[in-house]
Amino acid sequence: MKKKPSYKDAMSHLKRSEDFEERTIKKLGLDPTTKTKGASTMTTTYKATPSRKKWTIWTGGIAACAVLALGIYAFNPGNETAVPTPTPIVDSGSTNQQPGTIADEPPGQMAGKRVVNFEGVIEEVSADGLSFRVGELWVTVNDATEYGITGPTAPPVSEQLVSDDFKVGNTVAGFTSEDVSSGKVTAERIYNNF
Amino acid sequence: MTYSDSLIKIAFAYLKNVADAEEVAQDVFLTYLQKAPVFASDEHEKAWLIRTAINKSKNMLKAGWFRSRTPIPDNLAYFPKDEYSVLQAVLSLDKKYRIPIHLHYYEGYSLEEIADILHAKPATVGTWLARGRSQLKEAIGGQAT
Repeated sequence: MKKKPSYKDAMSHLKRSEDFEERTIKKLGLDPTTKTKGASTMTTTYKATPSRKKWTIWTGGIAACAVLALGIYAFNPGNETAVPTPTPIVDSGSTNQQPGTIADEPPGQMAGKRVVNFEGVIEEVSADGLSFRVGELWVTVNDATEYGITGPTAPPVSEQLVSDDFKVGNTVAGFTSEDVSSGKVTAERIYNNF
Repeated sequence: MTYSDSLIKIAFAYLKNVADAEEVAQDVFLTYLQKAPVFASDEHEKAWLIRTAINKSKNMLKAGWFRSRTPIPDNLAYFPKDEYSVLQAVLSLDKKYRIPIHLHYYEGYSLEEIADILHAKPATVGTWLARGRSQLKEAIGGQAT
């Protein structure tokens, strides 16, 4: 009588690759010379596989990036950008420039905003005291003219070297939005007058 | 390597491909070496290895590279015709049914042991086995055991 086919018999016929054992030993990094028939050849030593090495490299790289990012953040707390206070520069040697004015050139890369465009010693003051001459430039002040510097670190105006009393010989620095080459401007701000 | 045949066959029952099953078996041995688990008995050790092989087979099935490829079918022409039919019938079952069938009819595990390996209730495993058997009966009639 023919035996009924069984799943167990069918599965028993399934063949594995002839080199399975060899490949497995190689993959596990085991020494094939220590293998004995019927005994487990596993050891507790573990040799890193390429995938493990790759994983280690990736992990190390990400950790290094994280440390760099933290370092950069630590040295630059907050999101404030460094804007240096503009320093007034008077180029008295320029032949195309009026005395007492600052060359109308684009600000430097680090300058956030130029706030001084005339500076010098007052050589003449008008009778009403509201105009003065610095070099060839007549500067007029009015009610809209502001005095002193402002900002979170600025001292009170009373403590600054500035006043609305213009005298010959005073050193003055200020800003106007008008063209300083026109010879006559109205000051929007006087920073120094002493 | 004592259990390599068992691991390859449970993985084959899952993945239906000998090469993939061998890769799973190798990964299981690798995990075994890495974790160096301690077992109360040989049976406990075998159950752990089978459970790990099932998990790794599941992971391989979910992997994108596995799903997107078209593997060359295994050459099973060396199987006797009747047994090949039985094997194909079991492999055509949903894996929910064919894994308990494999563990019961090939490995000889009881309902409780299968439930322990698959982290399921024995009654649930009984249902899976019954449904699997029923579908096999429809597929191949009463010619197999």
